Amino acid sequence: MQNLIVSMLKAFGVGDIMVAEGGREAIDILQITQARAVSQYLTRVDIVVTDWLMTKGSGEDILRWIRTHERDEVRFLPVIVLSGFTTSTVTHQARDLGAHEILTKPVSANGLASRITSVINNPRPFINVSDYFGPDRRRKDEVYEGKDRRVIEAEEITVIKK
Amino acid sequence: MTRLENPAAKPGIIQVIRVTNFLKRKLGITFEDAEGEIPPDKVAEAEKCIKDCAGHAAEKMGEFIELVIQDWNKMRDMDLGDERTRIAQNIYINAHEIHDLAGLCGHDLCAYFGERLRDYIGQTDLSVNAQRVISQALVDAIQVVHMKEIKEIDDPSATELKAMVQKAIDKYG
Repeated sequence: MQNLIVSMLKAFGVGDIMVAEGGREAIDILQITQARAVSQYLTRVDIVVTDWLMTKGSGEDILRWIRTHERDEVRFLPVIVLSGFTTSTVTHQARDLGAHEILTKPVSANGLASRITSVINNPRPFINVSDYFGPDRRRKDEVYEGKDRRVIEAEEITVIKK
Repeated sequence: MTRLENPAAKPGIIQVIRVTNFLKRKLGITFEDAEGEIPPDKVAEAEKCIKDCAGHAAEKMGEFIELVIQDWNKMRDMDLGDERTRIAQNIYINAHEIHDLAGLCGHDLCAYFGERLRDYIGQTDLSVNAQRVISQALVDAIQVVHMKEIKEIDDPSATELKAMVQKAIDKYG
């Protein structure tokens, strides 16, 4: 599956692809590329594409590590999760841990392409609250007719531009 | 626990952080409202990768089925313990692989049973004998589907196999 994703990314024209054998190795790679002092000789990772279920560290481990990292270069990374689980449980878990996009297997070229272009074209603002850090989970900017139960006082919201 | 404990957040405060779109800049898209796209011919090329992979996937799927059968044969009569947990974990992962690969190469029935086995192993410790009967039924079903190369989920033999597994679940579940 991993080889397939690499081939598909190459077909899309992605130049530099780093492959990890599981979540723990992915974290090691990110520690070198993003977390350490910036070096002109190191390529930074732009997007993380991860499977959810893996033997050596899961997609959940990677997401938790990324979203709770102290450095901005790590915690704002876009993450696309591939999931072989067809129930909504994993989708909700991944979303609540801050995944940008979730792609359910079997993968299609259109599916992967649309997730990547969505990350690039429509970056959602990040939300930083006590139990969540990640892209805004509300994707639609619709006028809601009913009672807004999420109303909060204006001073409780801080908008920061990075 | 699926919720994130976020030490960076200030209690009672919602921060909305708008991040500069470095990816767009990197791709040379200078206008904020301009959209990047992956050209259709590149997408078609990637779709061809999937088709090419499907042939190997069927072979690889067979290897994972063998692993599941071997592990199941080792594990089914074992007492509870670390070794049993480790083997159950292997079966869980390999059943997941069967589901993924089978879905990729159009073996929908095998994908269905792979998913059922994965979810069943994930939900139980198989300490009760009845649970072993259900797992055995699922492993048998995968084996038959693979040997007889039944691909379609609505094939008459598929209906029969699904009924067999359901019977085990109804009786022992």
